[in-house]
Parts: sequence; structure tokens; C-alpha cells
Amino acid sequence: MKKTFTLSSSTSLTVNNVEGFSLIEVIIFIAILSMFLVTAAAIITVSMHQNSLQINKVRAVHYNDQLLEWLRSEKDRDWNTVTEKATSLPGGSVYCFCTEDVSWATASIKADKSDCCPTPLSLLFKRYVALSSSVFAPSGFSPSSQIEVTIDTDWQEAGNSYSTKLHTIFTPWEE
Amino acid sequence: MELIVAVGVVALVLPAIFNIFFVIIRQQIVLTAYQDMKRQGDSIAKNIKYILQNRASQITDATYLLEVCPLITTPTPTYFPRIYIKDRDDNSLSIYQDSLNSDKIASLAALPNKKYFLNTTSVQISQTSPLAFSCYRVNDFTPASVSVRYTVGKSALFKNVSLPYSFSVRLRNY
Repeated sequence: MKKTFTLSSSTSLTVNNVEGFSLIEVIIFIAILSMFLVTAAAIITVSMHQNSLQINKVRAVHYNDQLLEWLRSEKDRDWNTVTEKATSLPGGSVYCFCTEDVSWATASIKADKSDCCPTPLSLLFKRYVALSSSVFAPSGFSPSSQIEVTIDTDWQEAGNSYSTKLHTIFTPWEE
Repeated sequence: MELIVAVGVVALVLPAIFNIFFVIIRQQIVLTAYQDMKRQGDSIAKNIKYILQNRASQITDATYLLEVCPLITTPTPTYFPRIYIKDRDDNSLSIYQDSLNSDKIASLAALPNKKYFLNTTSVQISQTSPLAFSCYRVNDFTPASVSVRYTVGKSALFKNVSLPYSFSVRLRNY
């Protein structure tokens, strides 16, 4: 549509009045788009966080299993060494295993588990085990020594702390 | 002008959405890879443990005649790629990484000559850290302890992920 405005007797201005977006339409569009994007961003953030958490859970469980298997093989190899390690551990202290190569040589004793692994395992995980030796003496049976084993693998992710735990009791195969 | 703004918005939003979409898909693939590796790695461990703990009575050489596990005095264990087992019913079997199909761990019964794979091709057993066994005895009259190690790997798009396994089993049917 063309409109002609007469400004004076000698001048006239022609305006092409093509239909466009009004301000209210633009505001509504931006509002809807913003709502969609904010919702999508929230869902995506949660989804990515959950994926990452699940990956790290699988890895943490594997690290726990790996340490338990190694301790079990140590127990089979030499029960006395494991008992000695358990009894020599001060109360509340833990053995930290911060490398994938698990051995007593790479383990360190820490009084506080939060001090474990200044360089975390795979740059993320803190893995430690608490050992406590005791004597199991059910009535009617001869007493037998046992070791309570609690393995933890902790990690920090997106400002939250996560942990996987394994708890078992070792008894000697033969004494 | 409005058309340019609309195209500009679409040009910014669409790549961002696709980028996020592919990041999530990639993460999902890595997660699935880890889950698959863990499931199959655990399954391999469970099968080998079952065979060694509940079936095996002797670890032998390739002829199934001579026992090979040394006394523990050996300072560092020597790892070997294949283990030969005599079971409690005097049957012979071996566990090894199949050379024809090197990404699988095979359990081979000598008679009848029957081969079972302990994992599927969806995961690979690492060539750089292959299946290996070692064994020892505390003394002449104690059962052998067998150490097993292998690494399960999988390709997850542009990333190779792996989980190392190692465990030790003591024979119960010595």
C-alpha cells in the first residue's frame, strides 16, 4: 500500500507501508523463544550432568572392585601381612590407593581420609580402604580372626561429592 | 531487515542446538561403552573364576601332564598368555586370547574340541595389555593361586575407553 503525505504545497513524501512485526509480536516471540531456550538449557544441563555422573559411577565401582580383588589376593597370599596391616593402622586412619597399579608400596596411610590422593586417581577419584582386625568367637566354635574391610571411592563433580562404598569381611582360608 | 534478523537467529540457534545434541549423544555413547565394558569384563572374570575355583584341579603345561605353578620363592611372577587346566574329572581345557579372533577370550575344551568365547565382539581385549596368567604355590601341599589380568577396551566415537582387570583365584579342587 502506498500512502502519499503532502508536506507543503510543493513537497510530498511517499511511504511504502509494508506489513512488518509489531513491537508486541517481537516481545511475544522473544519471550516464547527465551522460555524454550531456558527450559532446553536446564534439561540439557541435567542430562549432561547425569551422563557424566553415570560414567564416573561405573569407573568408581570398577576401582572399588579392583582394590577388593587385590586385597583378596593379598589375603590369600599372606593372611599375616594383611592382619598386620590392619592392626598397625591407627584408629580412624585409612590406606589410600591413588594409582591404578595397586600395591602396598604405592599405598599411603592418612589419618584423615580427606587428605588422601593429593593427585587423584585418573585426576578425579580418591580411593581408600579402612581395615580393622577383630576376633570372631561364636559360641561353641573356636575363635577366629577376621578383618573388616571398607573400601570407598570418592569424587567431586559439579560442586557435589559422590561416593561408592564396598564393605566385606575377610576370614583366613586356612590358619 | 526482519528476514536478516530471522535468518541470523536461526543461524545462531540451530548450530548451538545441534552441537549440544551431539555432545549429549557422544556422552551417551561413552556411558554405554563403559557399561558394556564393565558388564562383559565382570562376566569374563566371573567365568574364569568359576572355572578355576570350582573346576580346576591342576595348572599344567600344554601337554596337560606337568604341573607348572612354581613355589612362591619366585620373586616376581612370570605371566604367560595361555593357561592349561586339568579339571576335577580329569578333563582338559585351556583359556586364552584367541589368535584368530584376538579381541575375544576363549575357553577351549580339549575333548571334545569345543570352543566358547567369554566375551562378544562389542568389546575388545587389549592387544597392548593382553590376557595373561601367572600362578604360584605357597608350598608343595597347598593349592595353586592363579593371577589373571586383562584389559577390556571399546571405541566410543573419537575416544577409546578401557577398564583394566586383575584378580587372583585359589584352586579349591587341588
